[in-house]
Amino acid sequence: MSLKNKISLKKKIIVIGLMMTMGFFVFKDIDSRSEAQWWNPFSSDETPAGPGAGPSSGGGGVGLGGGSVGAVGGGPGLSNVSPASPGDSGGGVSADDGFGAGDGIAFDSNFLETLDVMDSIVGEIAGEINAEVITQVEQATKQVILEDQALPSVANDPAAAPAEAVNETS
Amino acid sequence: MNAIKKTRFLKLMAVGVLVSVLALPQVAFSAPEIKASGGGKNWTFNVGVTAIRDDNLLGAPERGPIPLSLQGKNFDDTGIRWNSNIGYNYKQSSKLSFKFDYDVNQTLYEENSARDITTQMFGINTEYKISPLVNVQLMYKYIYNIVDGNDFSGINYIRPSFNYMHRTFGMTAIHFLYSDTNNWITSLRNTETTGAGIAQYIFFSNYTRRLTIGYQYRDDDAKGKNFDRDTHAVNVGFKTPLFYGINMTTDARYTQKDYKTRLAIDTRLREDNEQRYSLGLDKVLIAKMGYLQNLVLRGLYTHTYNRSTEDAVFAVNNHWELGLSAAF
Repeated sequence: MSLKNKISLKKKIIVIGLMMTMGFFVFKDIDSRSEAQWWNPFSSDETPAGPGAGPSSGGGGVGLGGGSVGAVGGGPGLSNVSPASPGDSGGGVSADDGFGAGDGIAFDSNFLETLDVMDSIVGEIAGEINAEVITQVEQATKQVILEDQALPSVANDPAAAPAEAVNETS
Repeated sequence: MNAIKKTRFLKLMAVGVLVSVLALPQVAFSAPEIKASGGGKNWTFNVGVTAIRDDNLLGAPERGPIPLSLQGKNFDDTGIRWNSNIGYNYKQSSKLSFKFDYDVNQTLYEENSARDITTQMFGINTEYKISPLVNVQLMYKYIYNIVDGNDFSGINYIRPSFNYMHRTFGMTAIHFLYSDTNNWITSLRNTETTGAGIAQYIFFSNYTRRLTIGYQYRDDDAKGKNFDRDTHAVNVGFKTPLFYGINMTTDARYTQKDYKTRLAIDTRLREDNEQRYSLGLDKVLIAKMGYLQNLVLRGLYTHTYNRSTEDAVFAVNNHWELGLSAAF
């Protein structure tokens, strides 16, 4: 590989890395976890919910959103999320599973269905991508065989190839 | 010749059966310990067998003379494909999870064994949920190809992706990819590929219908500069249930490939425009029976039209598939 290509590859890797890092930080704020928890994905996400502050304007209190009450409102029961930030209007982990916790979001069964659907869809699409990778590789392999058969001048004829390829074939 | 083919086929089937026999007890033993975390299970096992038919498998050109290497051969062919996948999901926490999987996929043709392909794929997929609706994934695969019984290529494939689900506008998926192909037949084909893509999945009818719009760019940088190319691909797909439990999947894909290969007839570079249209139907025949999650009957038709400035690869192909797949 020439020096130019190496530099080009490094540039591409750096650009991809920067874009991923940027995306990471942009969406980092969506998560309401503390900084310490954020930087350590292995830290416990299953901290018990803080004491519920009672009924809230958003309905997060009694029964559903109220911190330690029930499996739905209590952090670990639903989706093992971080404790709600105390205070504000509702306390407790919202049914929204911790994001925007404390804002008293009421239990929203449709939203929970959406979360399940998200998992299901991401899983389904991941499966499709897996199959697609195999298909693409198979097609690319067939393409190489086809080209090497149909275009022997390109694959084997030094006259049709640039200097680097000539050296390789010779 | 037929006897040799039959023996070869039987051997390969035996390998398939062996894989299944080895994998199934593992699945069966693990099944009672299925964890309820996230409602999922840890082990997955899929197996399928498909009959395939191509009316121009060899890519006989629509224009110009038939290349010498293809003369006297059957361009159309019938074959069989079997595939098997075993996967293990490991959930580190509610946010971080891993999936390890192994795929083997083999296609065998009746007449053109030179096109027989066996693909093995070892993969690790890491998923980190930034929020329930946002995640990043990192997919790594090592892909090992065998063509007509000979080692052909080994590929390291890395695909980081970012997925965001919006309640109204559906899911946006952005991915990057890098792959390094080591071709064991000719080192001129050793290729580094970099690329990126975006896909938007729009859902209808309570997520039962899905429209997909996607774009991908790839840059293939081969050791032999004749094989360098830039590729732009756009696709539109639609998936919907029909009636009697039949699901339909359609896809239209347009790919523009700009090669660095000079044409033999003049000084232009080769340029291909490929159109690919597919229509798939599937129906779940059995759902939830013991360890069997489902047994699905699938049919697929694909029409490929490759328009090229290089006559030798200006080709059309119609491809049919009919098969069964089972998930455990």
